[in-house]
Amino acid sequence: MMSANRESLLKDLTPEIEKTSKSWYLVFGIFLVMFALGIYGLILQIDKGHIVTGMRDNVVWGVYIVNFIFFMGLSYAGALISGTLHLFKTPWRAPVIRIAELITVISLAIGPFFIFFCVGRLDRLPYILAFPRIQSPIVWDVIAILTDVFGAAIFLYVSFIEDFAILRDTDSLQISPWKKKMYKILALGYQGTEKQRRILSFSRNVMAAIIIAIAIIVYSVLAWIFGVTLRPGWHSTIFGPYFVIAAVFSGVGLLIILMAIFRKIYGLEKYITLKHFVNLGIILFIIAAFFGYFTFSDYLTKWYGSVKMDKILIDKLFTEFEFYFIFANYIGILTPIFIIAIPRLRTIRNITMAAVIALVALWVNRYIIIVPTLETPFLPIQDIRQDWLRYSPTWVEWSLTAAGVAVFGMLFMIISKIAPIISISEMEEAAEKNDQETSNTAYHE
Amino acid sequence: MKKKKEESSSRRRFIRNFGLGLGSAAVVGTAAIARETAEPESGEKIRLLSSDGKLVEVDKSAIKVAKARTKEEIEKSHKGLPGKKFVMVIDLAKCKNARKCVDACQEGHMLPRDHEWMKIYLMQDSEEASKYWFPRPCYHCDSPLCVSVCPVGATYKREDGIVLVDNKRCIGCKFCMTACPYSARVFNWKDPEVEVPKDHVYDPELNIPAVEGTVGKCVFCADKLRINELPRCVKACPMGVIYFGDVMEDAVTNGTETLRFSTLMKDKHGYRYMEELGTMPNVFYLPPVNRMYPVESGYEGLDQSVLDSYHPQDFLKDKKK
Amino acid sequence: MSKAIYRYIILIILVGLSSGFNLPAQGDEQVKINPYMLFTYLKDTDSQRILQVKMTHITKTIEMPLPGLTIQFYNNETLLGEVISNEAGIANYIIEKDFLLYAIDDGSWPFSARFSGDSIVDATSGELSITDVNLGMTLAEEEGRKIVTLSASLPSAKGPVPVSGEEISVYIPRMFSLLSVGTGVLEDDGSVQIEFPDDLPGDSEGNLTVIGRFNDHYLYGNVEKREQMKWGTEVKKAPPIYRSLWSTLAPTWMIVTLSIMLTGVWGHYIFVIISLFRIKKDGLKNAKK
Repeated sequence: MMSANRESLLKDLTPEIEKTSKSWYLVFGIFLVMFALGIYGLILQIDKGHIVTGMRDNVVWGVYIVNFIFFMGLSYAGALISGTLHLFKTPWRAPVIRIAELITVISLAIGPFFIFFCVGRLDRLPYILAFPRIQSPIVWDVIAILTDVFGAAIFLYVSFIEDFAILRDTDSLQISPWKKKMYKILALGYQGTEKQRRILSFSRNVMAAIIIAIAIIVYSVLAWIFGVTLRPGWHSTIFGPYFVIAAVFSGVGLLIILMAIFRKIYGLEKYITLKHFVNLGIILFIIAAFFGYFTFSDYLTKWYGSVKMDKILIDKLFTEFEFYFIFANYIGILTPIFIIAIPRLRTIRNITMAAVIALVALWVNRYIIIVPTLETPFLPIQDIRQDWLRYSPTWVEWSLTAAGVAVFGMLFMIISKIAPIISISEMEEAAEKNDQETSNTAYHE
Repeated sequence: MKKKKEESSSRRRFIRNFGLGLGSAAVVGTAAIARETAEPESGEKIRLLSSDGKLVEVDKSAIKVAKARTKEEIEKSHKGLPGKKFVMVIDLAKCKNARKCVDACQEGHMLPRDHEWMKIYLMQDSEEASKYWFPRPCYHCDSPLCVSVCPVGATYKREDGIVLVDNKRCIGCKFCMTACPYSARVFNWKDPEVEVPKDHVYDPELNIPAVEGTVGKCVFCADKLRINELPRCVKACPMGVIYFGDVMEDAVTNGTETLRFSTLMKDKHGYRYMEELGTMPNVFYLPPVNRMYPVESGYEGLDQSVLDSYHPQDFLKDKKK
Repeated sequence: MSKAIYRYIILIILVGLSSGFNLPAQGDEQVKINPYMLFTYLKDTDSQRILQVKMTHITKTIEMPLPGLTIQFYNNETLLGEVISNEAGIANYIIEKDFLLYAIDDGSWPFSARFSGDSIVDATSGELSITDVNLGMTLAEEEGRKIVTLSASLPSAKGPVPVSGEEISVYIPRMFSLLSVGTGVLEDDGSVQIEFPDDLPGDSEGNLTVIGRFNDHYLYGNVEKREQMKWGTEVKKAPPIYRSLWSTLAPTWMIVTLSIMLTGVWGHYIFVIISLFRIKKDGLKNAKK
């Protein structure tokens, strides 16, 4: 029975590993074009200087930093979700946990590049490693990200080992010989013996626990880059927890979206069901509530007090950034809550829509945290040049943003050709448990 | 963009290179010494002025010595002038926005017109109070946020209180610019296209040339302080608004009159801008009372673009009501 | 050093410039630099009489020194000597101690300094009229107060004639200029007592140079007497801060916290990696079986 299970699982979950479809190439091609456009923008920026972006002496951090925070947030959310799901042995975690782990690692690979784009002298980037000052929050962030990259990689690898072993042993699939060899090396001689199972399971638990702790610490460190300055809007005590909640919010949203996408293109309706969407949707609902609570708490205390700079900032948010503010902090929070609260509205399509809105709203939320504060310095901006008074991103910044999204997609597609998007071993375990339970109940009846 | 009536560029360039020419004579001496060491000749020649006043051709490999001197200059600039602590006092009662300080600073450091290390704001503390002109250099704070957040140590505070930027170390992350509450730093968004003499040695105290992708700011003319001369803005001010001195000596001077710093602070109630931020700036202000000139006299003789910059809200394209 | 050096400096720069931009067309006048000459007289603490000239070129914003210019110093129409201005544009001529200067009817010496101009810089000149005065200074402490007694007299054939009614001040040298610490008016006997303040910062042992000086006097020029005294307060350098947010070394607690956290986390990583190796070892062992 086990092998029959495995056979069907393999057949369903690994089509991409065997052969590449035409549509795969088409989508990959589109991503490649977006990536190339971004590279062109980058070359222009390196050649002409940062004057080609929209950043100027007051708003010195713009879309690049927003993207950096956004992608790092997705990464830590992926880590938190996969770690938590694993540690708590959530019964329905099997189909989604792999996607969450992949989000962790892939976003982590993309995020730091946006910092590189924002830095004025790319050729001097190694100085951070050569002459670090540990009093600087940026150095804390570099140390934290390096630690996190390593940890996420180990975590992902450890969870892949069983699948690599399955793929190495199976004969029912047509896998090219170089891939077979790769699986053999990567599987580390795992045979599923008692001792190996024990070691592997323990290692996974340890990594899951550590990754949760790291994700929280690392994202808080990122928040403190803003929190330690004196600027109105940034000098807030709840920035650490606020950013972590926002990150988890965006991560769950992305997870739902990716689930919906893979379900559609790989025909995984049997494995990813409405139940998963509803469960993740409820998590989204809870996080949205927390996020709304933090946002409200932050802005209420700013608005109520009479500090001049806070007032100027709040005024700016409600006039110049009115639309963005309403979208990010009202629509972005209330839509998921609304859709998931009402049982009748809980369809896969609606929940995915809510996730999309949440994700975009979070990007806008980061934007209105960073940019309006920089546009309200303590000493008034006295200038007549438009781009010094107001920040407006240029096509270079947008093209690099699009390139980041494209790379995200491309990396996912490439990984799907090497390893299954849904963990076969987890599904096996889940199916086993399922069978056990049904046979138990049958026994008791 | 602010336009300046172009005086003959020839005269300007002469003066600029003249000022640097004196510094280059020192480097040439070293280049002459380097010729004595056994360096493999690269064959490429460069014309320089030797220490005995003759125009000579030197092998390009001798210029390598200049690079080593950059490292020396940077180390020297970290040490500073021992036993001193520099302070600046700006008398707001006398400032009439003549902008000579801005011009002198830009001239002396070869800055583009839109880089104002010394910037003059038109401030109004409250609706009922009058407007006044507010020159703002870098404050060289005693608790500098910009230095704390620099990830590579490109900006540093030295013993004599001056905060400098090392353009050879700066990676351009702009964290210092977000951390400084007084918007005192500027960024080189594009290549500043500054012409310096070929044998010019980079030195953070003069901070020439500006480097694309790095941060610049007022340096209290640390290069002038080494030769016991006042900073350029202090000397250029026709009203004697800016006083400069060593607080350990308890004396500040504006080039014309010298006063005891403690007496000045006591008699005219010197204060620091936004004291509550706790950065402990080293620039004090004397309140704009008993004004020597009316505020409006500060509008005279300025380019329209400069005048307009004082009420930017009228220029926002998408002005919302 | 010969004056050739400085001529060459100016020439080289001009040569360098002319290669960089368009030369004025034929027929245009080459505009010469219009110099500014500051001509002063100083009688220093050793009664040496010095004629000082500072040559600068003042642009809109900056005062540039003009080196390498030959300045001729005259007393009436007698050429006293020639000095070439140094890198700071300063030319000082020291009048020999016993040199008999020509005085006009009222007893004052007419001096003039002339620069006859060259191909780059325009000619200029300056004039001074100085009456010689002898200044004396004594420093004493009475009843805990520091008193500076200054006395001035005009030398004459019949003996010194006291100067009265003129203002004179006591200064101390500071980094960029002289700080005035007390002023007085000379009484009929040609002397005045000026109290020296108690709280002026000196060096690390409290040493100060006390200067009694006629500063830019309309008759006497600059006349001063200097003396070193321990009349200042001791100024000790503040101890440098070794560990703080903004210094090179970080606060100790930061280093400790960071080390603990990093060892904790990476320790776990190493543990997991070792576990993976154990899995591999176990796999190899099983494969052999």
